[in-house]
Amino acid sequence: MAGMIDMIGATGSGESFDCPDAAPNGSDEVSSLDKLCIGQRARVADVSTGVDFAGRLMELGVIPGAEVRLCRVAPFGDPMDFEVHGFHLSLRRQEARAISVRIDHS
Amino acid sequence: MNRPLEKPLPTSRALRIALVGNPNCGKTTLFNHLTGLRHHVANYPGVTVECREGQLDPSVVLMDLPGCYSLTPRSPDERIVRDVLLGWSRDIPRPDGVVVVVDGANLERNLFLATQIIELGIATIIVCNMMDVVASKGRRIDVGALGRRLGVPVIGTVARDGVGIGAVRAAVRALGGDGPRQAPPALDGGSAVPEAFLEFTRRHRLADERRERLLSELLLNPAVLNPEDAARIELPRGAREELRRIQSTVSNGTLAESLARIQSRYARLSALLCDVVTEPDRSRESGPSDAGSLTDRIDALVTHRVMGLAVFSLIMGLMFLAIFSWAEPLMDAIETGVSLAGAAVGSALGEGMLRDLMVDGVVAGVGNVVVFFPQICILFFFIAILEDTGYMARVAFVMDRVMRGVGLHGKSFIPLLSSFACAVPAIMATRTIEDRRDRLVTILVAPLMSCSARLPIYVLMISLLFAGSAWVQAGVLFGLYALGLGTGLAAATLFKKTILKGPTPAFMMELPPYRRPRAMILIQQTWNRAKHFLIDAGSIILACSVVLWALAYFPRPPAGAQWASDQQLRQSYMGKIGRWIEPAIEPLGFDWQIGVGLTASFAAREVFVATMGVVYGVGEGADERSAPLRDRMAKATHADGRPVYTKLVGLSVMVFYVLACQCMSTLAVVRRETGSWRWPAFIFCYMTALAYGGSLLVYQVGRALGYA
Repeated sequence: MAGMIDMIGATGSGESFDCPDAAPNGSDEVSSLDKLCIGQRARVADVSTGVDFAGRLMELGVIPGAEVRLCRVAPFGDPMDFEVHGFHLSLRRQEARAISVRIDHS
Repeated sequence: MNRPLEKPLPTSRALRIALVGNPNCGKTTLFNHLTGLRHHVANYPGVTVECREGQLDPSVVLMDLPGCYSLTPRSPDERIVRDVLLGWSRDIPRPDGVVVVVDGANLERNLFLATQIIELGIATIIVCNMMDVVASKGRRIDVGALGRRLGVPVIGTVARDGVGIGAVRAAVRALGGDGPRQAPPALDGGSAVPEAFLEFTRRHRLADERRERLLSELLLNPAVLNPEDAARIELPRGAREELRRIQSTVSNGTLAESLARIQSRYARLSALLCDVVTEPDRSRESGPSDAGSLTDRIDALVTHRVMGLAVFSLIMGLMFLAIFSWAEPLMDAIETGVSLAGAAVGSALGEGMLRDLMVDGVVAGVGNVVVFFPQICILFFFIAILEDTGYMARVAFVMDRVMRGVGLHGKSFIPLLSSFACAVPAIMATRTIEDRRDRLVTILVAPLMSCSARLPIYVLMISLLFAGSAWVQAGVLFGLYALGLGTGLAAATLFKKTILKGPTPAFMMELPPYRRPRAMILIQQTWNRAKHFLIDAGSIILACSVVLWALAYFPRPPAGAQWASDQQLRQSYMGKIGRWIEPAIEPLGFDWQIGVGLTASFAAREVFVATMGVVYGVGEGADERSAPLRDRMAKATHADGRPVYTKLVGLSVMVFYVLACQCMSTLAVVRRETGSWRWPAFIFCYMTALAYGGSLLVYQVGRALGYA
């Protein structure tokens, strides 16, 4: 049951999801999907996971240029629930990290 | 599978139309509307996925294929869809036409699959469903224009409310007419497939002209050669080596290209949709948003850090409480009915063997199992509600972190939950799991979840030994379920670290919008699943009861002698078997009568209850015959007068049944799903060992702590 204990340990170690007001510098900021704050939108720049996984992500519409919004994060801090093309897709933090996005602060 | 891929169609037979679409697009609702009650779960040998077939009318057969996102399969489920549509399935014939159901609220992603299918060159109709959701978002879809763009008929529907069904029906019939089938529109915007692949496809005559481009595209994926992968294609031996060579020459470039191809399909789609879909004014600015929608508000609660887990526990608690308290009046009624039937049969037949067979074997054996039918219905009904509303996917979302802890995927949690109803459909449900190893681990531990067939045993023991508070009873029951789940997760961790070692898979799952559960579907699903319990009661359990009765009834006392009931049982064949295994089960706290139950229930665990009915029914006086089984068990004593069924013995029995794999159907379905007897044999062995060890631990530790 080591996994269960590990899980409980991880509960508190999640990152903070409520962003301070981002500095409105007007320019595009390159980041990755796992860095979004709840409610924040971004546009996909590149999907650089393994090819097979990237293929499925793209088939689902996670293609460069698509708009993504982080809706919520699961109770144990992972996975994350994104809205893309009008539907909800949940991904783990680890895979979300491999998707780079542009955050438009303007 | 070295055979022509184009099978000639027999001329005089019903038209076969496949229903295809993304998961949660309303495909099954449409199927129900189109076929009414004229459908059944098709049972194709070798295809254990629930593939329903129904008649639109006597000349058109509709089949409901599993949901899928694209023709590049990632799971065994999706592979079935691809193989059927390409005519590669060994068991399901290639359909004459396809109805692709698309979710209008999510048009681009749904059309991704639809356009792939159109390019296959099969006669296609597109049903654009959920037009009410589209309207509620202020969006308009010009289905006529979409049809002209795609070159196939497009029909807008609201399947839930039955809107547009007539038009779909007419269009499906027209697919069967003699009119020309539409040529696939020029949608493949020139994304180049490497010549080597096209040439390979042509030379091995893997597809006709219309489909060679699409097939070549599918061959680009290296996974098609991996025998363990869901995406695999079965090729002649020589061709396999050749394809590997071609793939290696182009690999890096092609992989990037295959991603580029997906992008270019989306680009073409959005160009195609620009004057088909009219967005509300604000939307282009604000982008996707359903914040504040009902789904969003429910999700805020059920996936909340604290409240989400509380809601999950509450739902589970309610379910177990309902199983006990709601079912009670119905069970009493059935119990009364069974004893009345026993008395009626008893008085109708004269004294003798036939009467004993009917009353003690048939009525008592089957009746004691049928009594649990209300509880099984309640369990299946709850599970149907969780599935139909969309809550099940949230459970996977919330539990993914836990499942990752044991090296699995949130999606594995769903088969485990359905395994609480029955392991057989649960094992079939693992077909949505992409990775082969994860799927196997899920299959290996699914039978540890307490299925509905164990419920009669738990209920019998709990109501016998923990009479009184419904909360205590529900608590014990919850504990047993938790034991099964906990052991399952621990076993999964162990398997994932040893025999099925592999990386934790990537997690990707759609969370469908919540839907109001539909009474008809809930009742249908509950009945479809629960009826197997009744069918079993009428067949396997009936047969077992009669055999068990005979084993307990013979040999008869020698002429002139009279045996008391306990003496008869002790002298019988059944008693001999029980006493033969008694030394092995004594350390678990079981006497030879329980031993009889254990032996008898090795093929189907619910037979235990029927056996107890036979064991404690044999040779009793007619006036006591109407007493329910638990009363007689409560009175059972050892030779020295101690009661047989103490709380500790009851717990030991229940722990044994939580952990043991006493179900032929489960082993058979594992055999079908894994293709060998190795895995079912493994499941049987490890679970039996666990059961023995678990019971031994409970009983010996309990005794050491001073509980009798």
